[in-house]
Amino acid sequence: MKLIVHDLCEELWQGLNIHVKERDRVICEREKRDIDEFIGECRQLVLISRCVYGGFSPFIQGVLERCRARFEPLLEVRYGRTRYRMNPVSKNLFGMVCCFYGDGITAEEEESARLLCVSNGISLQAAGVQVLFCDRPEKVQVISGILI
Amino acid sequence: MILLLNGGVDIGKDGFRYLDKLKENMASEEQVTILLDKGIDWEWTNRCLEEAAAIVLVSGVCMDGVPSHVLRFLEAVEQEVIGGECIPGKFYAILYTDLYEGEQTGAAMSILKSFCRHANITWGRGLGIGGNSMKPGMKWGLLSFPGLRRRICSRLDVPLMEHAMFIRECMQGKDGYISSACVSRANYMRHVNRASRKKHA
Repeated sequence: MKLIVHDLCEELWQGLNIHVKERDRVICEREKRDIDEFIGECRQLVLISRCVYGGFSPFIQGVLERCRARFEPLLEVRYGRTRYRMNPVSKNLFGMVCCFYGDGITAEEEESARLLCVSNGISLQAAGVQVLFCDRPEKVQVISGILI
Repeated sequence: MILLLNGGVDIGKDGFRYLDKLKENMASEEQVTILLDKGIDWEWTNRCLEEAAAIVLVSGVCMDGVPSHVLRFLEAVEQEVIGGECIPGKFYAILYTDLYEGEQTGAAMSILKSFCRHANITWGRGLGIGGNSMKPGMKWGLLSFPGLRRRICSRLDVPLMEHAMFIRECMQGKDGYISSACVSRANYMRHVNRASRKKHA
């Protein structure tokens, strides 16, 4: 299954016509749910976010913050840096796709967003991270090609 | 006037520790502290932003980014700027993380710099602090000899004093990142993990 978290308005999301299977989960601002109950079984985590200063929007950032419940309060070294150890029950191999949209995203913001996504991917122990940028939310549809 | 922004109630509780240290080194300056929780008085905050010679944000880092409530505050400030208010003061940041390396606050620091570009505020200097779990007065097992305790207390003194100097003089400078230089990474992790296990046993 894939887990999609987005901050788009309902009308825009429906207009994108992204194929969502029955098993897939979609979390949006209207639906106040956390991802940690689904992340353990998903094969793809898709984050669709407005690019806010080269990072996630407050809603997506809030969802990721609450995801910290998946971490044990223990530290370990991964990729040469200290990271929180993952709860073995929820440790999983999934691909992470981050799609940022927004008008006038600068090169510095793109770099910062990529850095943030890779770092979050390492923290969540994703198998790989793919980052995409769109200048308009309507163009988010490009992710259809890489969704499982 | 120096405006001190404490990045929130929950994860910002350590912010008071750094703010107090900073205040000690800026005693001669007028200071105003605002806690970035839900009850922000925007009229008062906007007036402070307009009058401040320096704005200092102290916040923890969450999932490598700026916490969501701080992001909401920054977006609201940007809207005020677009609405016509001008913020003349320079922006300084102190970001901290429980992870050992101060450099792990780098992504959040870039986000704050980008905010400054959007809000047309001049970036002053950033200080990223790693090893936030290492607090003065903690027992460090076999390592808790007085010399080490003194070093834990003072490891932040010089960087914070230096940062306070930049703020006081409203100068721009190169960002600084500090780790727990007085304790090795292995010792730091061992201690934090032991304390966590004991707490959660």
